[in-house]
Amino acid sequence: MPDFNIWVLAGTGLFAGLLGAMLGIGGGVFIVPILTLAIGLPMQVAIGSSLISIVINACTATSVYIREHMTNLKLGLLLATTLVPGAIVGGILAANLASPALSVIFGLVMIYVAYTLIPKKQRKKNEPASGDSPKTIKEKEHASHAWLDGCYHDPAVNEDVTYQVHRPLTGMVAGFFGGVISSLLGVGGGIINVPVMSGVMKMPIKATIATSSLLLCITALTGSLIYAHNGFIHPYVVAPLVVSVYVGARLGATFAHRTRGTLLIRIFIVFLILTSILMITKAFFTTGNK
Amino acid sequence: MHTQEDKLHRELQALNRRVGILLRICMVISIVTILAGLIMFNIKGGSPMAGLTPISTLPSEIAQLNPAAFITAGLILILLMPVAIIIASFAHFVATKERNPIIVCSILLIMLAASYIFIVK
Repeated sequence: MPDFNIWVLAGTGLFAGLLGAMLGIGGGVFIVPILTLAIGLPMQVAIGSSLISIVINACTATSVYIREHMTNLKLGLLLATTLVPGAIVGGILAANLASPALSVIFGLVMIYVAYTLIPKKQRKKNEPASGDSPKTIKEKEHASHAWLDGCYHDPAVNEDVTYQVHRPLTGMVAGFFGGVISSLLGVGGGIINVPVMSGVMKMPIKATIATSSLLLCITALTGSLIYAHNGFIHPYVVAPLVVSVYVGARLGATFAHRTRGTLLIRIFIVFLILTSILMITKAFFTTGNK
Repeated sequence: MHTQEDKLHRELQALNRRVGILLRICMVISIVTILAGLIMFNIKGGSPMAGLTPISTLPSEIAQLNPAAFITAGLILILLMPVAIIIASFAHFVATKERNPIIVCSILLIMLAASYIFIVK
């Protein structure tokens, strides 16, 4: 039985909530490694706790983003139609995999996320300000899904940003895998959704992060139900996490549209690489505690 | 044409505000409930690895001031929030008669209901 301190859980939640909301990734990439590596909880308990925290984190961020009209509600709901089945598949897989196997998959996925963030950072340097939408549009291709287009006011540049959504079908396919990863590893589909919406669907980064938060609410809900049903949710582990994630997410969503985030992304990449190495190493020294 | 688009855009912004307020209210209630459970746990003590309280016994456990029951109730409220977003959106799109979003919301609600039944069974 792991001996955990309520303040360690609260600190973990605050950190995850803050960075999760600022990066639109839900915060699971911080919660799962800390709960398993620092506190010693079984992987499935860490994932279940993380998923509940992601729901509160994402709902808190969404409540802020949606009031500022940054969330593309229609697109978010469309992508959720493939995320939900993906989340069910991921939850079933996780329930049948041993902790060390999950740790290795988690570590590998985090290395992938770190990799996807590097070219994104380089691409940002060529953009005018805060990832604004592209100017060139293929009207005929676009007409069928014009109802997904969005606009919002960007306070950082004090401008109305109007954008078009490209390749929604690709987004839906990627969304399925985002759902699988979310439930399998408790990290939220944001690690898949954010690069796809920003890179493939050509959405402005702020609308991407806001819409990703909405998606995380729905995906993590499905995953949470599976873990709760399998007995992996413990109220006294989840409660301090949830309360502190709420505080962190409110702060994070407030800071998100005031920051450029380059330094944040660099720190995040270093964190991902270090924790992935730790998770994989731990898996090879664990005899299996599923 | 533009007037119709502008009208839809304004209505969508009104929906955004409503959903934002709904989420904030639900969040505050759930956080207060969970916090109450956490404080009671610190006062009363108990096993840190206790399980969730079953829904069938939730009201009676809350009446007995069981900390785990309070936390469970707060968690249920949290899990209902994403569903509330979809239902509010569905109601809005029905009112504004936007066909595509109505279809998407319907599919999503059916999927969530089906997945809940699948998980429980």
